Amino acid sequence: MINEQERLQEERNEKNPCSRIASHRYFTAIQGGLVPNTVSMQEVQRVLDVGCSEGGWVLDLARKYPRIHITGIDADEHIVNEATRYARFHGMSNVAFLYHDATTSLPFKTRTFDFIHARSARFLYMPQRAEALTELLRTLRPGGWLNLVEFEQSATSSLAFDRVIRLFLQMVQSAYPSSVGIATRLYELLLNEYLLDVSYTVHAVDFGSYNTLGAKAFLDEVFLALRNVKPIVCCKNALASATYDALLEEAAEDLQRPDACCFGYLLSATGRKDG
Amino acid sequence: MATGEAESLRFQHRLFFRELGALFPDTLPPEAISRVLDLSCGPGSWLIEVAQAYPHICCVGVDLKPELIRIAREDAHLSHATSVVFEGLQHYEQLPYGANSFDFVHIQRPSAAITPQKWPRVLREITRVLRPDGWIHFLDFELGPTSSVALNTFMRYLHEAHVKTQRVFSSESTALTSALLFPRFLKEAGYAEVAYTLHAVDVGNQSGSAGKDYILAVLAEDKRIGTYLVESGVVSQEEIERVVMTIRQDVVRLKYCATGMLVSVVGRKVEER
Repeated sequence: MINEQERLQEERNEKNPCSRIASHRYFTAIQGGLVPNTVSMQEVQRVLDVGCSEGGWVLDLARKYPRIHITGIDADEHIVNEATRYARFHGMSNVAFLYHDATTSLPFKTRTFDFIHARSARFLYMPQRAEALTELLRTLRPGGWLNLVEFEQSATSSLAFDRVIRLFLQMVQSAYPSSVGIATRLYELLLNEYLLDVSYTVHAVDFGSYNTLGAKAFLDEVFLALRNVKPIVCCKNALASATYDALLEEAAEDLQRPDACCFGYLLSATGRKDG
Repeated sequence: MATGEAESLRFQHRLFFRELGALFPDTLPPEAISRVLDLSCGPGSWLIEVAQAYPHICCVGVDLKPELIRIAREDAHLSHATSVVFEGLQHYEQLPYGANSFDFVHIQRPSAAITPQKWPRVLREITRVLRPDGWIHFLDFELGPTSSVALNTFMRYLHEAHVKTQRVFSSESTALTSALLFPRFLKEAGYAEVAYTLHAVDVGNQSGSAGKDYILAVLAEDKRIGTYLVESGVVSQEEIERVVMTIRQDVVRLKYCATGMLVSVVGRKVEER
């Protein structure tokens, strides 16, 4: 059993907004911007971000386009409150954050948004994915854009990191079977919804040897997630807690070597609602 | 038989360099290169383009397959590339060239060309024929996640077969190639300025046919790969036939999405002290 105090500490760590914002910006830089270049921002007034987390994407978009209104929703109440506090403190009036689970019906009128964005959104892993997508598209105006973004880990020079990631993915697979390989299926998901102009882009995420601050922030988050799932992974695989810790430590050491190599993919799929 | 292989290697070359956009790594100006060795050159697609683009470079291509060397010579002749020679070798552990003969050694798909057991000796030999301050360049391709379950299954079989026949450095790693280990090998072999760059490649259907053609060309050789998989005991003949047939259907579907990563690794040979 995981120690209660340790769990609380980890929860606080998990909500460390600095590393999350750094890692959001890392992905944004890799994608070449906040918005896919197939989206024409002149035609966008209202934006929805699904699974907005601490609001990094929402706030950056709001700063870049002060005239548009952006709503972020997330199924984590604490994080939504934090994001709201932050926006209020900085006097940003064109953003709103809402505590809401995207697998349930949305509190927005039909055809509200011109652009809906979801990066690493949890609803995509859920069995209710198809219903959630239909509900999202209800709130999108005809001609509006939907952009889904997912990360997928690929190869690494660290055997320990490879192993621990595999354990993690096995666990995710048993918890959310429909999440497996979701990154390369975003394109298909959008085509299945009969969206127009569906396209996707593939980006390399290079985070070997902590080569940039963004890569470091992202890896910090990955390791945090790996630590958080320790009780489940150890229990499922009859693995001693100390063995898992040692594996994590070895992985972290491997990846700090100057000759370390590690990469994944970021896939971004965009389509337009028929109208 | 080897013509099918040549064709698939040509597709591979086209796909790689469409992505890279240049024959040499960005950091190395071709003007400073005068003697190039292409190890495991296949049908010579890369080297012939180098010879055409940079007539001042003396190009040497070697491969273990006489049939590919024959095709490479024919292609060079047809493209009027005169500064290029191709030679068939018995193995790469002993190269028929003097010390410090080349400025640049290029190896495309090193994981396919050279097995892990042979690497230490081959790398020592490359280092001998490379002049001090000359560069080594590995270009490998790791197929990434795809939306085709059959293709993902095929890659898993391939990995299992590679583990059984010891064609991968470690059975623990999930990678099909050794691309990510080359920076370490080069550092351990004393190379300086070792660096890698990644290029994500869209090999799905939306980006035109290059990626799909590549997969199909690889599968066109499915008898060879299929035999390899069956003989290494990871899969039955019926199963591999079923998987290959499904891949053929999957890759031509409109919804097919696939990724891959070009891994380019460079290192500079330093003077021995």
